[in-house]
Amino acid sequence: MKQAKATHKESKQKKSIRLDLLVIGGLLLVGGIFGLVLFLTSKPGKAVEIRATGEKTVIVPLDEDGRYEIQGVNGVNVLVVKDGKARMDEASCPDGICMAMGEIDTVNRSIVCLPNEIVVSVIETGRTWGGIKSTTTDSDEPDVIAGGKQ
Amino acid sequence: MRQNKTAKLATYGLLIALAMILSYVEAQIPAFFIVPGMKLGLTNIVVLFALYRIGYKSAFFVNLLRILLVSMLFGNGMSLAYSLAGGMLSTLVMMLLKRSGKLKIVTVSIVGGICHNVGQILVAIVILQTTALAWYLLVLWFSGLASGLVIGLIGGEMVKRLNKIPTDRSM
Repeated sequence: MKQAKATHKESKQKKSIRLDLLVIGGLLLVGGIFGLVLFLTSKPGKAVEIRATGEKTVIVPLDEDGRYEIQGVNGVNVLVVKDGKARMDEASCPDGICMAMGEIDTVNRSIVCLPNEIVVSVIETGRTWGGIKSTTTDSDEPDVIAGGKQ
Repeated sequence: MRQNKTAKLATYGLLIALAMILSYVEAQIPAFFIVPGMKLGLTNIVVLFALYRIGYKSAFFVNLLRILLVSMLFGNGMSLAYSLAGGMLSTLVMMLLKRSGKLKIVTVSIVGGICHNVGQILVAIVILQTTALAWYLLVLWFSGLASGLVIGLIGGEMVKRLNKIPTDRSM
């Protein structure tokens, strides 16, 4: 009788571990599928879109090297485009997480600076290429980009 | 009755102080993790402990007060929004999972870790008005899983070993 109770308890414990493994496996699977979808739909981009809260959206090409100052909410960040890749070179935020995000060159990859509310994301060239001039020639000094090319 | 209240007050104070210290300690650790923005979530040890040893209410309020106090001391309005979204989402989900009683503490912590990161990304998507955070969400999905695992193992041991702190049930 006692033994039967013990085995019952054991099987119950096993069952609950199985549920845990199922949940963890499911979470891994969801993440894996999500990653696979992102990977399969990724394409090389030709330009980056720079968005800063309260500022105009600016698009800069990836095939030209350049150094751009971006005015954020709490300070200025510097974006560097080199060899077709963009990376945050300087940041006024305390954690520097955006600099740690490294280089980006595939569509929809992005660099985000939360403290300064700046989003830099890679876009496909075709549909937005014409937007570059219209966003930057509104005034002599673009709102977002102050530095210009090197 | 009065003694109950005092003991409760002391326990809550202790847990909130501990959670705040762990928040601070974590902020001092430089980003040695490969993943930018990844955090270990040390304070979740306290939340797990409160959840499993004291009660749902204490887990909720300890984390809420910890977030408010830490933001007031070291943060700003923006960091408060991110912390609140992540912290409250993960705490609420963990409360529900604990209530279901079907999962081990480690699994509860893993789901909580992922929810924390998902909550923060959702706020970021709203504040920054962008959907360009998909890759980041992917990275933080797995980093939340990993840190939830580590914290869940530590928290589980704590819950097992620390039986002597007065709880609602023993008071």
